[in-house]
Amino acid sequence: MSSLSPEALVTVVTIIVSGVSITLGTMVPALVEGKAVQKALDAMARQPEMANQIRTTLLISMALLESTAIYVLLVVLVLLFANPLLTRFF
Amino acid sequence: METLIPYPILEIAGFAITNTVINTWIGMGLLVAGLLIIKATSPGTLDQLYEMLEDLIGGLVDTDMLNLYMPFLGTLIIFIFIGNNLSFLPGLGSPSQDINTPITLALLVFAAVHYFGIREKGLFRYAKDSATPLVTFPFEIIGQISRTVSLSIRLFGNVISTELVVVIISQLVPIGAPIVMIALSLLTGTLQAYIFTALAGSYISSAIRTE
Repeated sequence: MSSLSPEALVTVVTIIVSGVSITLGTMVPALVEGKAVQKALDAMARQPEMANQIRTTLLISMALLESTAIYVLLVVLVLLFANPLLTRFF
Repeated sequence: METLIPYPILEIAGFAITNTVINTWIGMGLLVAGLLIIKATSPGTLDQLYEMLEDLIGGLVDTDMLNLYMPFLGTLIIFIFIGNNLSFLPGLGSPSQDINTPITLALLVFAAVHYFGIREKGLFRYAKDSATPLVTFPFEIIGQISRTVSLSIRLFGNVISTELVVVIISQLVPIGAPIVMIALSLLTGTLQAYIFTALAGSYISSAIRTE
């Protein structure tokens, strides 16, 4: 590990961190959204006349939950394609 | 990756006109031209479209003076919707690809929330209502800032992520494969337009609420 040049070390750590963070960052919102859809389907089956309102609320809530996954994706894309740390210290 | 960074096309009086500005102008031109054509051929359709928009926006903000909030929210949803669907035309992209457009729209929402709140309740009562449990006032300030930032990054992140995937896939498989991703970007673009307006409507509702 100490025989790597500093740029190579930063690159390797960036790759590992990007892989781990994109995995975790898309797993957790997907699980939580699945739970939300489950509860929404239960409510729609129990009260079919409220289906439209429930569907609207569900879509808005899922877009809000998705936004945290988008934040993770944005950071990972910046790290992989336009990494500012590679040029700052070297 | 090179096409996702905004580049200047020409210079007018010291301002660099980037490709984002050209996209915005083309979107505006299409919208105005389309509405003028509809108005010239069948004016009844224009009324029906306006009523559809009123139904849509009426469900987002709970107020009985809907005409006051229709211009702002209606313009938001139409502009973001048309802008995100400009990928249909070759060579154009969404104006929300540049980080500046979503930041501007989020700042406009921030200003509009306070404007509508002060207009509805008066300056003193608006300030008193937002500072009523005094211990939560710092959280109120932090919440306002984080709402604005998250609003802009949500729109920007959704648009730029699908665009980046289109760019990468079109380098691997140039023919045929990007169509699927462009279709997905149209879907997410439309949904994000509705989400942006719905959130703006709910922020305005919480600012004008008197209970």
